[in-house]
Amino acid sequence: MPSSNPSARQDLPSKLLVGVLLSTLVQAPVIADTAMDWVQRMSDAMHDLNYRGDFVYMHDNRLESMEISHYKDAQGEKERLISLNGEAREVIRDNQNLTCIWPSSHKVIVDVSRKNSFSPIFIPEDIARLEKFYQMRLVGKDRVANMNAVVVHIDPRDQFRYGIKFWINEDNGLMMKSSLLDENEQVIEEVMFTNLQMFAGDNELVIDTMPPIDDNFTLVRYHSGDSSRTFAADNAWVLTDVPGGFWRESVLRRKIPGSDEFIQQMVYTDGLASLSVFIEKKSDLTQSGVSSMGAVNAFIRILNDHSVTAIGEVPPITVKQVAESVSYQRQ
Amino acid sequence: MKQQDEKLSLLLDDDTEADINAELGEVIADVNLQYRMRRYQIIGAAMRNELAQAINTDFHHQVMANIRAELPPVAMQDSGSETARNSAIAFMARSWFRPFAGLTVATSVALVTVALWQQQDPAPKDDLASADQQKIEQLAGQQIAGGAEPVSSRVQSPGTRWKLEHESPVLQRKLNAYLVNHTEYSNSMQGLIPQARVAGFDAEQ
Repeated sequence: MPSSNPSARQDLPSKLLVGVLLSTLVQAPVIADTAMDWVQRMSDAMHDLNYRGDFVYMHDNRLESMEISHYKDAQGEKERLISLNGEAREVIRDNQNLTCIWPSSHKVIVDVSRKNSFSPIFIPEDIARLEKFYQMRLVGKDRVANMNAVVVHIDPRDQFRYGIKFWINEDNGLMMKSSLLDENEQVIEEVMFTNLQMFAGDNELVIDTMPPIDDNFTLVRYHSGDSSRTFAADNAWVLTDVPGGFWRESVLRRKIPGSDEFIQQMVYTDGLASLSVFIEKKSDLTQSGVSSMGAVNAFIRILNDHSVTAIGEVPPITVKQVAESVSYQRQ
Repeated sequence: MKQQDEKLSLLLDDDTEADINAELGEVIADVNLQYRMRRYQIIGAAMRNELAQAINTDFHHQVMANIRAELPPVAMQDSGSETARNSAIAFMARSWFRPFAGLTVATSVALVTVALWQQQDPAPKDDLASADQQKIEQLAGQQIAGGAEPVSSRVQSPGTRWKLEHESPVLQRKLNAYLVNHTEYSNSMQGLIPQARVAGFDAEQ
């Protein structure tokens, strides 16, 4: 009920001010209070903090243990990932290079690293868009690697994307555990830290322990794209039935070495999930169909003399729909 | 001075047990880091076919050959044995030339032997993986002036865990290629999972 006391009305602005200030003071230690705040904070922490930790990676009923080191300085981010079981495998990434090393079998891949690809940085427009296709909620607290974590559950609102669950370190915002969930809420892929240590900003040794590459190393090449050169995209390739919420983030066209042919990659994302469409001339060995690895699905389609492959960490229905919607429309 | 020479020699011989002072270690670490980084970069450039030429990737021998060539005769005459010569080389490389060591490495990289190599790759134009393979095999087969052995460049089929309707190594490689590219150029928020997928390649081999 509104107050009829004039003096009370006069005091109202000052009381409101005091209330707001008190509220601010009380809430000050809480850096993030909504699910999206926590996801945003996690994204920032993954970019900005220096840490090293061991985690397990679960997929396809397999369990692997890995170690990650992440470091950031004025030159940018550096990250090293080492597999701790099976054959030693190592992925080193900085703002220039992505290097994958298999020391015991003497194989190495070196590729161009894309800047800012460590994790996305959200802007307010992204948040509004995400909330249209996902429901984000805080579902409680948990303990991971002996650290307190806030649990965020991200539910898709349709069948074209997976659900995600994040366990976010309550103190520093780092992701402690994440799960990709299918439509039945079953875990498809999961990573979880078993220990985590933070490092001061001047401890570059976290990363600078690259193994030497001797002359017996085998160069294994996974892609032939000349990533540092850009060619004009062929805009006649269009996708007419992309699931709602996905937008084209980038398009790249690379020359296939040793030939005059090109391969075009179109990257689509909804802010959380993403998929790529690769288009190139088909070979006699090209086969259409579905493939999968963990949460990653691929659908290959033959379109006249081209192969169209949609691949991404999205359900099979999504890659199939996207690949089947590709057409070549001359301007 | 002799003791310092021995330390430097031990360092050049990669004797990690040597008790070196922090400053020297730091400088050498920087040089080694530069050396390794340049090597990675050149390998990367070769793999991306950004080098239209075959190159001598054996920088270590190239650098050492340059250092040997630049040794003043006096230093070589004073050294009566191969050990002493190596020690002198170590000293020259690490002490006198220390300020220029990084530059020497960089210069050696820049001046690395280049044999013009026309890209006459008969690889099937429609097969991404095969095109790579032939190109890399050509690079591997290229004779390098100076006798240094190039980095071996045989291509092996990586082990993966793709579930395919029909087993096909070519398709496995192609999907791996796509996934690596997708991981690099997409910006999905799935924590460490995308990187773990790439690092997880080959686990079944």
